[in-house]
Amino acid sequence: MTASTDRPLVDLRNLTITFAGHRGPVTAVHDLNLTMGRERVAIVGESGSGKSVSARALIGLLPVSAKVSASRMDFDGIDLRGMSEAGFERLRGSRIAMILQDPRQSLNPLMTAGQQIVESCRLHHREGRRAARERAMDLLEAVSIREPQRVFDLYPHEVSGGMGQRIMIAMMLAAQPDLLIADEPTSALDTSVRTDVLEEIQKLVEDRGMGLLLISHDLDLVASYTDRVVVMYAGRVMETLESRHLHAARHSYTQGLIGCRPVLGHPVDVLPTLERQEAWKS
Amino acid sequence: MTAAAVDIENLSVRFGAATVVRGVSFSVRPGECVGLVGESGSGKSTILRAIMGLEPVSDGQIVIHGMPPRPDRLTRAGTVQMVFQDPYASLHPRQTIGRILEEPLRIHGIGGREDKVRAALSAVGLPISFRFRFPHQLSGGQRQRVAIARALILEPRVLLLDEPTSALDVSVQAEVLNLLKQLHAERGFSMLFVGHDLGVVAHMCNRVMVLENGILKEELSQQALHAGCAEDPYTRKLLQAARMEAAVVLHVR
Repeated sequence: MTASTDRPLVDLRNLTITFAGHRGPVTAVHDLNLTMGRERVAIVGESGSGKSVSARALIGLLPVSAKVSASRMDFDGIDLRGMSEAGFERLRGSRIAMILQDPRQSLNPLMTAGQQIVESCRLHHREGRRAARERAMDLLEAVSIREPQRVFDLYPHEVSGGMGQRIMIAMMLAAQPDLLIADEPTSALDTSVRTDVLEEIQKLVEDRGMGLLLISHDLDLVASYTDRVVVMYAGRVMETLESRHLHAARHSYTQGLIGCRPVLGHPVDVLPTLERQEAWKS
Repeated sequence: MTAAAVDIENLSVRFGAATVVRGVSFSVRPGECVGLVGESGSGKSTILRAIMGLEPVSDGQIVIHGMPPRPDRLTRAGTVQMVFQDPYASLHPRQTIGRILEEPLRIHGIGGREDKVRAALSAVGLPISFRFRFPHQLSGGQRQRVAIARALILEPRVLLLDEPTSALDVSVQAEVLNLLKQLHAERGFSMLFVGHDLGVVAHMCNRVMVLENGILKEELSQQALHAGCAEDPYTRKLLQAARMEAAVVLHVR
């Protein structure tokens, strides 16, 4: 076996995910191949493209009705195929963390922000109350919260969406995971904070040498925060390209996704739209 | 001077002790598309709902096409219609698309309903056969097309849009925005468009009103919005964030 630094963080080969449907099985992901190290990768696609289920398979969060098969499905050399719930439990949070779309739904409404981060610190570091509290304050500061003392005692309903997402990120950092999966982390936020949150995630991932799997429907926006982009449609990878070569995208689906968002200071009469082709589904 | 499509004067909306809209005045000219922007909680959706009669007017008045301030429900619904943010929540889950589209016609005692439903579906680019389907059998974008068809089936003179594309993929957003622009050009109704994405609002609207904490801060023209010219500090802050996002997006294109 090679040293742990050489082995990919995520190695997926022929990942196929099938759900039981009313009219027979429905395949949500077809033969997905993805190898990534401690780098930043975006999976981009529309609703139903299979981007979220692919990431959820990695962390063992698919419903029991889902059938997952792969010729390889490794996380840092650990085979995830057929892994038990207890096995995933050991990975979740401590090695693979996840941030979801709406912080107001993923935070516990009955606990203050501080209590939730302290809980996460104590769980993962087996620390005493005081040490955990100090660590929580440091983490709030690390995610650019200006008054950590004040925010510590706020309940989720008392914070804005952007602040809530920062609290989620602080909780996730408490465990010092190796891989962060961010599933549409900015879709529920006001425009004024979207780039701030993406900036924050990118900075932390880079500083701490983590891998980032960023899932989004907004190709234009996330490409700037990642090294590579995987474009998915109907459960299949259409194209994988380096983010900085996005303008050279070959696939007509990718070309369609670029530029469909109206941008301030860049007026157009009619927005470009996608011509979805049946051939892409096979 | 022709009467305004919507004339709002000194409007305030209070819920108990909380004042959500504070003395807002502005008007929408016939055929114009006006945007309302601001962050969550700025009162933009409440203004739309007050125009629709869905929220109480605590102070001030709203006049729609010269009608009395508190028109009866049928008159109001025949003149103003609204499209909501979440097409998953705004369509009756147990009714077929045909029935959903037919209901306003039935309530208003309008005949030739079958033909009107077909015409409404084709106007929003959906196959006629969709009238036999249920909302859960449609994608988010298709549902929002149905919501637009339902709003337009009574041929209203004013269309209110509350973040009509925020729940959709950006690729589907483009399709729905193009459809709205095309229908607006063909039929000439007036639009009041609530959004938080300045790129989207600048794409759709001739003028934009900026709200903060229920107060109207500034009015900007489409050109000023694209150029990023604003006087008010809050508007500048919003614009700066949007321009940073625009820079990020244009950088990769």
